[in-house]
Amino acid sequence: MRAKIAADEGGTSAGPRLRPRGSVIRTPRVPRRILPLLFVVPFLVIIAAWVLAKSAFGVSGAALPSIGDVIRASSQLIDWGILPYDVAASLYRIALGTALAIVIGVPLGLLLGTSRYGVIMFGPFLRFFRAVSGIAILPLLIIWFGFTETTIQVAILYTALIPIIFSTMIGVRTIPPAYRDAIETMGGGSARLMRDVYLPGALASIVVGIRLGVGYGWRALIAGEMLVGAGGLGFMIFGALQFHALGQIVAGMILIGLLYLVIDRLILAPVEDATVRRWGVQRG
Amino acid sequence: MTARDRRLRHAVLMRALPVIPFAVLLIVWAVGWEIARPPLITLPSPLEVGQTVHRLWDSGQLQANTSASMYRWLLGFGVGVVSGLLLGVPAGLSPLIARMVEPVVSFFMAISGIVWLPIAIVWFGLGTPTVVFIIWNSVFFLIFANTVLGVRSVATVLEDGVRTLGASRVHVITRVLIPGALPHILEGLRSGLGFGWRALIAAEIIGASTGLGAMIYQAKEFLRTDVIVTGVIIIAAIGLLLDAGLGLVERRTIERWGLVTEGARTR
Amino acid sequence: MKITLPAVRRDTRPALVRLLAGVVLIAGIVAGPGLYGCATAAGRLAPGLQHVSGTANVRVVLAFPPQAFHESQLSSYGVFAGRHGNTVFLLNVPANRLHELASIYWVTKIEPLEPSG
Repeated sequence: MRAKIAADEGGTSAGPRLRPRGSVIRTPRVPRRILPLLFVVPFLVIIAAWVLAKSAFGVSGAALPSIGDVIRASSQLIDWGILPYDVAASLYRIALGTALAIVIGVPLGLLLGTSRYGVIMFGPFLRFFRAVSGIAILPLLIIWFGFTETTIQVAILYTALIPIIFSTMIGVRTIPPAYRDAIETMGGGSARLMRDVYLPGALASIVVGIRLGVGYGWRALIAGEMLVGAGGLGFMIFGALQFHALGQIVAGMILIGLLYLVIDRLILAPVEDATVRRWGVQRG
Repeated sequence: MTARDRRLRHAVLMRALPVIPFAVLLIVWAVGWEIARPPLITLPSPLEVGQTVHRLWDSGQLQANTSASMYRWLLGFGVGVVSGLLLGVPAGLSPLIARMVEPVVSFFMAISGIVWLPIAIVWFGLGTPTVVFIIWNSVFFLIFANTVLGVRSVATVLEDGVRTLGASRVHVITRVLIPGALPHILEGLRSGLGFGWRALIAAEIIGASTGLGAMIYQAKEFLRTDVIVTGVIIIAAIGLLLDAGLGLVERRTIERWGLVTEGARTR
Repeated sequence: MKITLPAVRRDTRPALVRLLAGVVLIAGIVAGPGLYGCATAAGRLAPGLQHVSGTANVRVVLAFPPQAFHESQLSSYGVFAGRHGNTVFLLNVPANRLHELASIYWVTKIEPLEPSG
């Protein structure tokens, strides 16, 4: 086969080409060591484009803030104590909402998952409410609870609850019956069953659901904060519209993205990895 | 009971059971309303919701808002899918680019959707362009990421193998890569449908004056919970359709071709 | 469907490192400003207010013109009595809350309010 490739692609006098020339895209050979650092390149490209847009194309400050604007806005917001306050408010809300969603959703999901007809009966029901996203329910919540903290919390809770229930249910459903039967034949009651079989077995799936819940909940949080106006990052970037403080808006956007990534990649993902490794049942 | 009876009973159960929670909800809602008689601003009765649907339909408001929303969604989703595919396939073909691009895409997915709303309002003002931009934003990165994933998941062995058999570049792309990448792409499309719809509603609530999202938001000004409930039900119904819609296509194509991936059938 | 038994505990150290990093980062962001404020609190309170009993009327001096956010934050410590330039006037601030006030990092200093006439 090697010879055929060489002949096919025209080996040179230096020897046969090891990489077929006609490979659909030619990949440049990159030194192994710098590979992990390459992820900065796209960011650098964006920054370069940004700088170009301001300097070469002269995009006005009314449409795009300069990088300096963003940095200035950030440091000013920190000096004024507004940024830490809003960040803390948002983090607190997502933490509380998620915690509540776990406390309510996991037991519910376990219940539904372990009952024979639970999934069939409640599947479409839950799917319906999932389609009513947490954001669509905000107007109703505002009428019921006003422009208050409660509205935001309920919105987050509602949004995070459904993926957690679903994934708990699915987690239970995918436990091989062999394990369940094993405990039953050993005389385990249903509480024992719950603790030793269902919960650990579903744990990997539950953590996946929590990750999803936080993802959806974070968005609902931002939307809720925009509407309710009680502090928080969503309020910060939306309120900045009034003052046309574009630097503040972009600074807020970047912060929102970074914070979510920290929560998702540095806190939730490791938990998921560890859980899958410890309790995950691999399906071959 | 014969096996046939058992199967029949099972089939009937499968159809009937999902209705029960809805039925219970409806009954509790209707009865609870009769008993408690809350003022309209708290919760409308099911009857009032029905009347509202009728009224909104007659006045044409329902159609107008729904079509405005659907138009924006179609536009945003369409552009998002096309741009996602067009950029995703070339990006996925190069392992280097695919790896390099992953953190940026993750970052933009983290802020996709309504986080862009304020800046979009600065750029486009309130209304359709802003909403379409937000939808495009939500859909594009998702489709892009899934396309790259899909293209990369086609084993290079497959690609090289076909190449050494003398296949042309075009042949490789069309007959090997695209079908191979299809499960992931379809998965992305599937999620993108619902994602885009939810992003639409969010954008309309805050940033538009027409459309279903705007309708339910404005209703809150006048404490018209009947309009809100109506709107929410319609939003959910369309969302459900979209969530389920692609499943049919999936079943016809990739499952038939035997390309189902592990997770594709969990719903 | 082939089932492998629940995975034997493999080395989860990298995951734990990331988790720790994430928790530290978030904790730092949330608690950092407060801790910094506490650490530098001593420098903010004017000498005359160090050992006050009962309540005090104070001028809260900032490094910038106070905005709605600052006024609403400060008014939870005492009665908001107006502002001038970079200063906010608070009346009847309880002694124990004075030190809390001094722990706010964006406050420059807190001085006693001269009784006006």
